[in-house]
Amino acid sequence: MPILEAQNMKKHFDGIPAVDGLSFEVEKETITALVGPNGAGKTTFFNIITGFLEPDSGEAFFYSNGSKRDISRLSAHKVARLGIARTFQNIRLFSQMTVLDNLMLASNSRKHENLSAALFSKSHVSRAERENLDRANHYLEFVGLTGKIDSLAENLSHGQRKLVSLARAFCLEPDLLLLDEPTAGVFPETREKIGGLLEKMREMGKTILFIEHDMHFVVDIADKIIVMNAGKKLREGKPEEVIDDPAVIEAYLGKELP
Amino acid sequence: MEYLLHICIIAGIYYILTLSLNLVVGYTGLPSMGHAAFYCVGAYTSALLALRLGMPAWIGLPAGAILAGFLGLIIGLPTLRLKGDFLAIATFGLGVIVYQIALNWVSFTRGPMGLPGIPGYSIFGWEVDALWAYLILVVVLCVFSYLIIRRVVKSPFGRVLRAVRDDETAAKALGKNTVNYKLLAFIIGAFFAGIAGNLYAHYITFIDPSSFTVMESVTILLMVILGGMASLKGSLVGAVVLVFVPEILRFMGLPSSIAAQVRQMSYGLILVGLMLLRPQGLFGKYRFK
Repeated sequence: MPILEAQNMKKHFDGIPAVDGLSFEVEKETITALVGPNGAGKTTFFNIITGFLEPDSGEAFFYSNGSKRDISRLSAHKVARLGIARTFQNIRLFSQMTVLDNLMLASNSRKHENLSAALFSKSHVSRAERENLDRANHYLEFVGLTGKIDSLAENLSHGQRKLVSLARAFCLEPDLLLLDEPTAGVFPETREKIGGLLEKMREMGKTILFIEHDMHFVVDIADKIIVMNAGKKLREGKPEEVIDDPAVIEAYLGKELP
Repeated sequence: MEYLLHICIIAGIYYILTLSLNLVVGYTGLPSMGHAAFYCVGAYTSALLALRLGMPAWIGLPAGAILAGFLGLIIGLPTLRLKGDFLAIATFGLGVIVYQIALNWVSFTRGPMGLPGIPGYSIFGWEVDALWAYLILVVVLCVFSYLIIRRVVKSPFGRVLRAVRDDETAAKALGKNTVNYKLLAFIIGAFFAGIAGNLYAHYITFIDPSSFTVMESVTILLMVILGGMASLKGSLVGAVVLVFVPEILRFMGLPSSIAAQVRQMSYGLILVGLMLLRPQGLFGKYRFK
């Protein structure tokens, strides 16, 4: 059963195709890896799905609670509210706020963040804030950074910031997580830890689609790999089938000399 | 003593302006260069209501604030989609436009002749004409503005404003309708600037466009930066220091012909020194990136 379905997605920048007729499905409660050389259009595809870019043509359907919805032209905040959380290649924490504030901001209920709530409704706000605090604590413990709760985000190390950005996405309690290079530039131990977290999230019924360059990591945790090249889908399948495919090797490394 | 009371009243009015601009610039990260426009609308609305329709000042107070807030909405809708520098230029343009309207719509605003004879405050038949009484009125409105803005910035709503400031893209990815938040911050800022305009008009009893130039916007912004972005305490200090410093210069016996220039220069020097020594301002919690 799919949770996300892209159909013939196209996006050009000044006539140059970035995503060029991409179609695939992501199955519910699986981990799917989106791989491909730099410039293949992976992040552009993420940006289209999450509402930061509008596609030139094509549709993207999101399945939740038994209904099917075209999200390809929905604005970013509306996509997030449907239960799709994303992280960014360049992390994008709220750098001059604490880790706790970063996580408290990731809340599925939003009434307590209204201006009228700020001015008039105290009890409702404090109830919502207690829930936010519990959830923030829970996911901070989940990623193992409880001690950093009051640190400013900008004072964390790169790996810690990666973990906080994951915790922030988890706090939204989404059905689908889109992670843009969740392990880029982190220590091998942190990479293992992140792999473990993603597998736990899958056990909890979440679906994960992530962009990754480290093939060992991909083979370790992904149920399915989608290989992109030049805006198109090159191959799709189980990790062990895909990585030895000559076309995939060629896309990454070029043709073997005759 | 009278003189000191006068300076305190002016400082109080600037405190409200600085607080309201800090909400926009310091907490929400919107570089607004046209705050005097809202101050101007508050002052002219209240003055014209009093002079043309005989409305008391306490009716002009909410009327001016609401109209200033409404202008914030009208201006904010198209411009708040702009980023950083572009927004600064657009709000700068707003400041110029409102000033030019006040200056050139002579049949309505009397243009450069200004509006003399604005009546003072009277509350339940009691004329607030003594300086100390007016100071109390100003302080009451300062406290009111402080409490509201404090409540706004300490709330989850205010947390979203800071998130928009730090990274608008990430805020969107968390489901925040960031344009709405920016717009609301802009409107609240304009609303309180309108309150300050009312206090100014009914205190000085004469207004003309020269009080609402772009330079005035820059001065308010300087107060925010000096006191510290995203610091309410800092706004008080910034406003008080920059109101008192020129007054101190007055006692240094400078001839009046150069006093004004020295005042401008002192602003410049304070700003340069601040950027070198403490770029986040005296009490600032947020640095320009």
